[in-house]
Amino acid sequence: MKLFDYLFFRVYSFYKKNKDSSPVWMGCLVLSLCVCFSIFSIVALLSVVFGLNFDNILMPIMLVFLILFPIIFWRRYSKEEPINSQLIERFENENLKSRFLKGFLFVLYLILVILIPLSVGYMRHNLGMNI
Amino acid sequence: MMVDPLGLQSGEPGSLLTGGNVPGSSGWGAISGYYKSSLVPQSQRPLELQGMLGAMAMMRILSGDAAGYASRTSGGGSGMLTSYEQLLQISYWQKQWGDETKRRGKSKKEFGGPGSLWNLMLDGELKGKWRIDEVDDLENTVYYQKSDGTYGSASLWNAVVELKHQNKSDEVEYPWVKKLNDMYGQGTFITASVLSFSGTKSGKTLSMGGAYVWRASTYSAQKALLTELAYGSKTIGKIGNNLGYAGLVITGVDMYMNGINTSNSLDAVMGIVSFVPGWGWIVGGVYFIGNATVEAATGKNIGQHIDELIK
Repeated sequence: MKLFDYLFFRVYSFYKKNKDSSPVWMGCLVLSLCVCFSIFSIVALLSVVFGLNFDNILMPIMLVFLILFPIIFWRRYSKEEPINSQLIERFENENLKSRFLKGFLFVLYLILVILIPLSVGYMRHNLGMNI
Repeated sequence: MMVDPLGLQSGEPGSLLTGGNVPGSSGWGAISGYYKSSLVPQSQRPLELQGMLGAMAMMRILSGDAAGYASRTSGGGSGMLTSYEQLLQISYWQKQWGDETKRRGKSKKEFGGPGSLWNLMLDGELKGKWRIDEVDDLENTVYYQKSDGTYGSASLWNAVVELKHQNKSDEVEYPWVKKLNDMYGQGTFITASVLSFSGTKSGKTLSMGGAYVWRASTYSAQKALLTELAYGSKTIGKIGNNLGYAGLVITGVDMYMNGINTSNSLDAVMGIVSFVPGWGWIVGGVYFIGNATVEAATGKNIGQHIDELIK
């Protein structure tokens, strides 16, 4: 949970700094996006490595996840207001170098998990590769 | 008796008529050819000679271009092309040669060599709505079975063209996923409106009916409107962001299951851009509004139009 807390805090801080009307909600959305695409990437890799076919149930599962995860994160980070102040206390004193490195790694991870399933789809359907 | 309207028949040495600037043709030959055309009935004469001699015709005569013109119109004259006309002719031949080369290259790509459409069809790699039963090389005919079970035949040429057309169509493996994504895309019109109008003061003002309404309202009305709209936009803005996030996931699944095309790529990129606060909302909003408008007006979205242009 520490990882989720930290990622949420970073996204929350980013949107708060940019004067978003609901930074908590945006934090939940970005976190959910990250988790959804992580699961999606795992599914894509499983289908490539072990040949498992989830195609018929993938969309319903993803629809459930994309509704479920924001609710879970919202319940954790919104209803218990003190948790945000706890997060701020815990992470605000992070030094600039570590902050930059972790932020960079998070963005890189997000790009990677989005690119994995898209690359598999591109190779299968656009290039016609049998993977 | 013929009347020399311009007095050109004098031909005195040193006059303009003694030498044209066209190599190999004398000024007199050019002019006489041109002039002879005035001997035919009026309806067959060059346009210039049917009425007044125009300024352009006069320039042609003086520059020697009249040689080619006269040979074409009256049958007289030397028949030689001017340098300019020769260049035009060469340019035309070059264009014809280029077109022919392109045509032959295309034909080769479609009908011969490894990887050509024809060989792909024979290898069964070019899939269509119908299955090929038999190919008769002698009769140049393809016998096939349609998806509804009926049989048909076509010439080799038509078969390849048809298969090419079918393979270019927008058929995908999971049409319901594509349909869901398209329906969602149309739904993003609401998202786009929300993204465009919530969050900025000018957006709030505009969404209330423009600056006119704002100026016409009293201070208390303005305050009430702002309060109401701030509350409304905050709530709707959350819904809008949520829709954008869901759209990104659905587009991702569509790309994974049906492959990447221009349409879903644009949706994905704009979905990501919409997460950027400030300008991202505006860019995403403009795209989604434009996309929905174009789709409503033409039946195809921006991505499909780009695909057509590329094809």
